[in-house]
Amino acid sequence: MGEWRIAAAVCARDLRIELRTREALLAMGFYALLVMVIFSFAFSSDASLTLRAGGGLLWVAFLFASLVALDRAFLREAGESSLVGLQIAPASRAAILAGKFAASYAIILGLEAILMPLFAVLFNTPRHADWGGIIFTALLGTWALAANGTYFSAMCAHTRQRALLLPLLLLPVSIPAILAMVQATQVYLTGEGMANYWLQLLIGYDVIFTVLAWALADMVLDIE
Amino acid sequence: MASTSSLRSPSTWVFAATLGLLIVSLWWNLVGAPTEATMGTIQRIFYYHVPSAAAAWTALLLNAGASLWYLVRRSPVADALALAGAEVGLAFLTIVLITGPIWARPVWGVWWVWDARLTLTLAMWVMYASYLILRQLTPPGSLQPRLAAALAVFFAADIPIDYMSIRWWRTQHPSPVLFGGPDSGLAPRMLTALLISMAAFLAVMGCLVWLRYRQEMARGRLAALRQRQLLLEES
Amino acid sequence: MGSLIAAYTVAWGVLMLYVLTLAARQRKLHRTLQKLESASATTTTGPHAR
Repeated sequence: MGEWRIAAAVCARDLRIELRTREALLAMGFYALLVMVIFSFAFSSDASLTLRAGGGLLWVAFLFASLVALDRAFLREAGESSLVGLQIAPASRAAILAGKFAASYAIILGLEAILMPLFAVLFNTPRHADWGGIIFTALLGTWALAANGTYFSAMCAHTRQRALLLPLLLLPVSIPAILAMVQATQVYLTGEGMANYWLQLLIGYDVIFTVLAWALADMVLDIE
Repeated sequence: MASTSSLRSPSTWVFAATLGLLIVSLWWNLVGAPTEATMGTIQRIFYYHVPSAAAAWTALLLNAGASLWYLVRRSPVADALALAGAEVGLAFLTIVLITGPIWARPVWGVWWVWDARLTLTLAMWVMYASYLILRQLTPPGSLQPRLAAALAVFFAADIPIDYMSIRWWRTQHPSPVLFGGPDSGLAPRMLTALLISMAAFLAVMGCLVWLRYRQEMARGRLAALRQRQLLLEES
Repeated sequence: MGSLIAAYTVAWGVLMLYVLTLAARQRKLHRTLQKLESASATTTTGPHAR
């Protein structure tokens, strides 16, 4: 369908822009690295801390990385009328949003891929940690952050203080998802407890808010 | 404009009645209701805390409904109601979040606990504060009410999920023993005080929402007039 | 008791504060209205007046 092609085109374009002007990606990657290193200074990386709060530590780092990546999502359009041509058909606005989401999702996953091994090393994660589960949780959780984040990034694109407003909008709405991500990751790190409910919550959350963002896409993408 | 209504108009009577109700409820809260056995005088905060919560939720429900209505109909009435509901709701949420800890400190020994209801209320406060900030920072035009309405719908979808997840989260850890809810078996005079207070606070909420709504509609009309004036001057 | 007074004061205080902001905004609207009224008077007496 035409919409998928639009979404794919927008995604590919965004990723190409990021890869071509590599500086943003490098800055983001370095930022993520720095966050993790500072964390390991700030929180003594003894085993008990990791066991008690490891999930939270990892996801706070992921959140920092996500916010940086999401803030850029509509920054690339700033000053260009590149969106105007794409927006002729109202039905394709959701497709544009989907494309932007896909690009952000990919970038944030990339950043997390840097952060995870760093976390494992710096925080001495237990040998028996279920990394498959942690990665699966990251895929679901990042989906939630990227979906809402892309939507709110579009919302903020028209405002002043854009970078300050985005976390203000994104984080409260994401509370149940963040709770689920952190708790599930904690379960997989320590091997204690059950992650199932949290994963179900994440999947449900992802579905509900993806549908909501899709349905309300043309509220948020417009040229005034 | 709204401010020029005469002293005998119905709105003046409503405001006067609301004020009267507030004063009556104050008497009931401080005198009419008996002193509670275990907590003493401080329990009377309950007569302000609970009705504030009721007023807050009602106002925010109004915001949710009006926002949905705006998304469907793009009516300026809906937008004005949504804004009024959010502002008034946030004011009452503020009262809830301050009176709660004032009560909790002597009774529970702590200012705050991370149980489902408190966590949710705090989260809601931040949400609606950011809603108002979004409105403030978005340049006026047809886009602003749309963004705000969309955000409000996101919140409305989010709040029940929040409550569920936070409740589950808290039952996984041993929660501090909260005494079984203040309205588990209220003495009749206490119930009276609570109901009168509830009526008073809901009336105040109604008045404030009405005032803010009228003000917002007036502001919209003035802005439109100003636009026309500017066009006239340019021609 | 002190805490009770504090709590009730906070409640009334927040509501008063809100009413004050309403009043301030109302005054601003009134000024805008006056400016518009005087501006429209000058426009209608200008070169393009009927």
